[in-house]
Amino acid sequence: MNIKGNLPLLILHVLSTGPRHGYTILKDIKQGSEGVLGVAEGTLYPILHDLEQRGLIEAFEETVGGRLRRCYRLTGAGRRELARQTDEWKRYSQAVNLLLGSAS
Amino acid sequence: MSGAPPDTALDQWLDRATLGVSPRWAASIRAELTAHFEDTTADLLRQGVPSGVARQQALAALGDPQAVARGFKDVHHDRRHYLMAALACVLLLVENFDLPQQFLMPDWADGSAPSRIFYAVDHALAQLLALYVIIVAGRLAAWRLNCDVTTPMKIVLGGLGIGLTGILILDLGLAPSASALTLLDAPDLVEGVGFLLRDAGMLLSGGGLVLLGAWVLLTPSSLAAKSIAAAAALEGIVPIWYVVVLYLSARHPLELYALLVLNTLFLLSALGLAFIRAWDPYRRHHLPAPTT
Repeated sequence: MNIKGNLPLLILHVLSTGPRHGYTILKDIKQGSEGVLGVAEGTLYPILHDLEQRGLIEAFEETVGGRLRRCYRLTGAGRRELARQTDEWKRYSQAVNLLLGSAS
Repeated sequence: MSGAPPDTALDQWLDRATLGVSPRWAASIRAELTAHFEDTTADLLRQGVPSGVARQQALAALGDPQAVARGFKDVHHDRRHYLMAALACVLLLVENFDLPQQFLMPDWADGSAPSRIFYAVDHALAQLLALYVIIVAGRLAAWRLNCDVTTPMKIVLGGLGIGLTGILILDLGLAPSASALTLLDAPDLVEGVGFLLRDAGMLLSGGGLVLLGAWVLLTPSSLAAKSIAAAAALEGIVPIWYVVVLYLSARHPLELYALLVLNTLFLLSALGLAFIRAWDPYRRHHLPAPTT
């Protein structure tokens, strides 16, 4: 299932559990959704850079496995945005479930 | 599938994924994507996938490089180009209304050496500014729409260059009493060449602009891109119309007024576009739009 539109929310959620680099963010999304949610992997990075520019996450460099990696962590603004988007998503999915439930 | 794809496959993918991205960011983005590719490959190798196949699968998993490039260009576009283009539009508007002459109120006689130099510099600057605005517009079309506008751009820029040569010949060589307006009534060879180059340049740059506008209009693009393309095509008709009117009849205030209005409209729309791109007011207010 392509999740590009909701990827920022999922990235913020994954980073709320600790700093990660791009590859592990995607891996956690895939594993956490039991392989249901996926995305063309290259498109993750423009979204990470966008979130960084908007001050929701911040990047830092760390050596992982002998290689210098660009890692990301959530900022205070990112935490507030995550809470807002999570609330929005819950209200949205409840509304859709309500509709689908009443249709069946 | 057989054998590992050469490293050039990843390099080519990275070249396309960073096409048009600010050089300030391109190297760091390449390093980040390369690291991702290597992590995926390493994971696949651990699962027992043969090396060559693992690299091919890792590359395929990265997805469409053009989509990645579009995303990065949205985030890391170089605002300075658009601020410079906005400044060029303001200067062209000033030139459009002959404000330098009106403010300076030169007291030299028409056709005198200072007057010729003034108009030569004035016209050269205006042509160079127009050249810059067109280059930025072309970059914007190639950047935003991922379409190749090289051919119409070459025609426009070539036309502006040829036209400028003709204008300079006329500014620096035309006799003070000359009333010639076109090649048909040029008094000598030098002015004939000047008129020929000026008018051929205007026709070429106008034709190129119409082609550029049509090129973008025929590309799947947003309504905003289509409106700007339509404005460019309209602006391209201006010099063609100007040359046709000049050769078919005498210059008439109505035509000059219409040219002024069209030029002003085009420059104001280009100025607005440049400012919007430089300021980018929408990005802070929403996350990337859902695409699914």
